[in-house]
Amino acid sequence: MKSSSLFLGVAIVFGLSWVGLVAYPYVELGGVQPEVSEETGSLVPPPVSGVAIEGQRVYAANGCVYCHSQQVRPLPLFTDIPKGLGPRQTVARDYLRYQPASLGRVRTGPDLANVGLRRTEASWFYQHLYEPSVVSPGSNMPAYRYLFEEREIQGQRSDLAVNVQGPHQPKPGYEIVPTPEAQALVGYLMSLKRDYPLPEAPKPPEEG
Amino acid sequence: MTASTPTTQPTVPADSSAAARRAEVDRSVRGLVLFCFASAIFWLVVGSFLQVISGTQLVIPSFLDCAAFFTFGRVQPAGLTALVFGWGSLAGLGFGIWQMARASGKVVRGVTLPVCSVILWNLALVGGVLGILAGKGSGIPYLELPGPAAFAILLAFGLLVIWLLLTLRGTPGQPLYIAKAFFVVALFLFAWLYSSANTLLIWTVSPGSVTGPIEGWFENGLFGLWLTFLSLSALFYLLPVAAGRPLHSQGLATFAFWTLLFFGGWGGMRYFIGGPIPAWMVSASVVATFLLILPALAVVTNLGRTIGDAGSRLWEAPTTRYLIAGLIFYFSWVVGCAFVAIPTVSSIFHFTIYQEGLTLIAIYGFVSLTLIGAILTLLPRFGHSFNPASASLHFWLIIVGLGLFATSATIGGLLQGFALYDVEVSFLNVVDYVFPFRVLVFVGLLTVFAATLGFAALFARSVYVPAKEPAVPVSQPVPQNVEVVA
Ligand code: HEC
Repeated sequence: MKSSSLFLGVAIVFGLSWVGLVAYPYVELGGVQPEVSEETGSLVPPPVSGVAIEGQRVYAANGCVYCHSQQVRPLPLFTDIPKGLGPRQTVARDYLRYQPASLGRVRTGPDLANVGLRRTEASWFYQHLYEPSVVSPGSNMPAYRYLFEEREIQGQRSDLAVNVQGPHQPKPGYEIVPTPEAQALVGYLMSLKRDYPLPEAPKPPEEG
Repeated sequence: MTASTPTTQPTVPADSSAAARRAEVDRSVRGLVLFCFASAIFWLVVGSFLQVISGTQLVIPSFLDCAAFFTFGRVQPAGLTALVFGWGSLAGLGFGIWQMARASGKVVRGVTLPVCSVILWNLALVGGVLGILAGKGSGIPYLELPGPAAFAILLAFGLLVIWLLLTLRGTPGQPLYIAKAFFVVALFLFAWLYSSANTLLIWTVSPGSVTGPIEGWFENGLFGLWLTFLSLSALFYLLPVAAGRPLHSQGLATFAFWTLLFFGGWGGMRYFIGGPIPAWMVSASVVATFLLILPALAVVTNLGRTIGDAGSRLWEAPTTRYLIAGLIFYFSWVVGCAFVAIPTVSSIFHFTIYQEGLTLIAIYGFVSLTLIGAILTLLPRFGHSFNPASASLHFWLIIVGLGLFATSATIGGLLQGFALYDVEVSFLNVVDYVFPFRVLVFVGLLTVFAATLGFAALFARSVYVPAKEPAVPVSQPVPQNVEVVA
């Protein structure tokens, strides 16, 4: 067999998967647009703040995706919804505003697709990131103290200062404040709410 | 390996001028191939070391948590990147270069270009891995390398391939043998996979809704095509030579080649069963992942029949034992992937330690055992000897590590999976349940790391001693008897 015809064959056979799994989704899924929801009259998926987009980058750069997934799988085969990971399954459009989406392969930590619905206090996130095992005893999530800085209290305590518990206390007269990176990250985490209605992902009926 | 049992078909008595020619060919690429292997082994050690660190952190979360540079989420992808792009890729390329040289029968003059490409590849990877640790990674599995590093790797790759095609192209009319076909097609696929994934996800920005399909397609192709084709190429080349017989069936080899290519491209959405991907894509991937058992069966049957009753002799030899084990792990890995692609099974096993175990089986079981076997086979041909007892020791160490991965990932994955599935179980309890299995995986990683250190030392010692006359008679003919397409 001539090598030119071999490569033509290979290109066609393998190219099919490229067309189906790369080119087609790139055009179809990449081309979907936010819409005004008939149910709520506002844009879905809702716009995401610049801070959250910044935070997505911090999330990516620090490899949170190697422990956390962000996808809610549908009933009846999967129990993600009864486990409280989200009100409905997630679909491609839910990720439109993030670049890239961090879908994840493992759940060494809990799914975060809707963590912004479950946790609403920024201070909780800071405390947790600073020392997860203090907030969640037994957690094997690493501490992200490097996303915080210790600085001398100037006059009043900062609004953002972390209420540190556990072993890594600041020196007396000092406080622990989140760096801009940590603030962006928490902004991102708090933006993770997939509870707006999407026609392609109906909410399953509530059970009693 | 020189022993031949009476049942073995007599190998063609090579005339001495052909043997001398082969020796000359080997000598001409020796430096280049050994440089590829040395680089690869460096990355094997670095990658395994990083895996040990991240494995420790899963058990002792406060380990090295003082600095951003060593945080789990960076060390883990840095290690995997080193293993895939450093170890597997460079070792496979090294073997492929030797194979192309042998097949073309040409004596290579001037290796400046390929040596520079490998240097560039190494530098790009050093920069890239440090970049990941410094927080410049993309957060997309296996596409973590920062844009410029990925570009430099592709550039190095392109230069190397151009050189290969210019110098070691077969003469027209020569049949294309299966081992060589796996290798050259692997080159083509890598260029396609890596350039298109980087273009869409790293060098330019795409909406998050398409990240999933593209990263799945890429990751699946990286393992299921690139690394698989490189490793199968080595197996298809070396096992028949070692057994001293022609490949059992041309038809089966052709079948395996094309089905692997076809289904191999489609498997990637199995990471997103139930996920935010159109359902038809996921179904296609589930079916494809399943059907990948067919080529795997064809490969195992074909090579198994080829070895036939030489099997026990090959298992006794420390080098070919690696190859046989690599083949067995190839099959187990494919079946392991198919198992978890069944949607019901996926609803339990997905997202668990089982998935992490599968990756380790692919990297250390299939790819590493095969390529270590290939390196050990070539060393004597380049005139370097080594102690077979220590090769054997490293083999068993890796097998112990793999055994730990396989059992703890399966049992631990089952427990973790049911706990994740069960509505009554809280997340922190899940963390508790898997803990003992993470310890076992960690012990497995340590064991494998020890083996890789030992293997690196063996390689260094063997190459350090100046080359003698090749220890293995170079007259062994290459079983050039199977074309990809009749
Ligand atoms: C080694 C694995 C690991 C890594 C890496 C990791 N986490 Fe976690 N994470 C966990 C585990 C385990 C839990 C559950 C226990 C707990 O609350 O700490 C968790 C919990 C969380 C929670 C609370 C979720 C909830 O519903 O209560 C948030 C938020 C979170 N992680 C964010 C992050 C962010 C942001 C990063 C990256 C900077 C990250 N995690 C990296 C393992 C990890």
